[in-house]
Amino acid sequence: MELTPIELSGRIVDGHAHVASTDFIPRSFIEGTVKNVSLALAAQGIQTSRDKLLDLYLAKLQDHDCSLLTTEMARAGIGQTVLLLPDFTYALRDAVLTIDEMIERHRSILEKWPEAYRIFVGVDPRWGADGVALFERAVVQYGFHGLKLYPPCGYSPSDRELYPFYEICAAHGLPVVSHTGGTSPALDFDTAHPLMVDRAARDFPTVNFILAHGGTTYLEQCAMMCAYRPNVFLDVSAYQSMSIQRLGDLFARGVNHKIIFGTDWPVFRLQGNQKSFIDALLSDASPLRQLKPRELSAFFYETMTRLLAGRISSHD
Amino acid sequence: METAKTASDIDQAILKYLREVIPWQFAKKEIQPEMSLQTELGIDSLGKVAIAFRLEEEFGADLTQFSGGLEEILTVKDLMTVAHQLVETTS
Repeated sequence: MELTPIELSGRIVDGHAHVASTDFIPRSFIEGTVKNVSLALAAQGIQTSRDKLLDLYLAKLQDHDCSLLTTEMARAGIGQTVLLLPDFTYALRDAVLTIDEMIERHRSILEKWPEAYRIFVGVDPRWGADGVALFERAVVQYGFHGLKLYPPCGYSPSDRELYPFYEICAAHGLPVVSHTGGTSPALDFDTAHPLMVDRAARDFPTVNFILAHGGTTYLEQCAMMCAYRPNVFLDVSAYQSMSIQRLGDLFARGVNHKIIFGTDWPVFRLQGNQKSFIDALLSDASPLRQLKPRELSAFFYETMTRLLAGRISSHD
Repeated sequence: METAKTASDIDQAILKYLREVIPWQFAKKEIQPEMSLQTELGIDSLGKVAIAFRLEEEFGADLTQFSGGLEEILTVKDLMTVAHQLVETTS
């Protein structure tokens, strides 16, 4: 017996996505990504202007209020999406909005679609006490659901400056999503290793940590963390960047109760739509066909729903 | 003198572009119209962008301007259909 797309429809939780908007992603971040694409194309003998390539990517980042994403979710059978807002504003100084303004804009999205979205917000720890207050306000007053960290901005997820944020997460039952692996060359790679989460995960055993993109660059290390550290999970977002068979390696590690579905919208928009990404996971070629119904439901919605349900309701 | 591009020219060109971007794990497969670019041929966003620029180089048709967006081109047949439409409107 297996869960069919019809049985999953409307129940799927996308545990890793972003608002597709140039308002929240600095141009330098996107330009860095485009530079790598340009190099890869040139290696195939394709010469194109970087501006044209950049325009192609920028065109996919104009869904500022999530109208398109909401439509895509309905089409794909996704009932709820976790929107992650990383704070690039300290590391990359060309952001068009302050992190405070970005949080307000995400609050508007949540108010517009209170059931469709859950918001995880990040504040760079180097903003100090103001940043902690900003995060606490987002949690207590706006009802946001977690902390999003982007260590490639130049800090370790176990940096002591983050501990006040983790105290808030512990007090309110909020999970933390921390990026792992590659990213735009505008940022650091040395702080993107999943083992850097370990000290914080040990010091805050009641806080659940989710290693973002755990099935890609650092599959072995992320699987090990999930197997041995009770409060560490991983999401598979960016699985579209590799052969789907690699997910078979991940699901063979005995940590299926720790693995969370995520699409990383809008990063792979040129590759396909949200429905096509779910169809790929349920296709005959997918290793997920070998999963038991309970494992499949845990992956697609139950585990993330359980982590979100840990939130202690406190917002005004 | 430049000869007019036929439908067959376009299909043959698309198959050539596809073979150039299909990863080695999928390379032995015979390409069929109903095949999924993503799951059956292993083509990612970079592969799609490469095909788009190849098509523009050879036929002057800009796949990136397809109103449905590259994300809606999911199968070999989708790709060929859109390429035919764009080449037709370009010529």
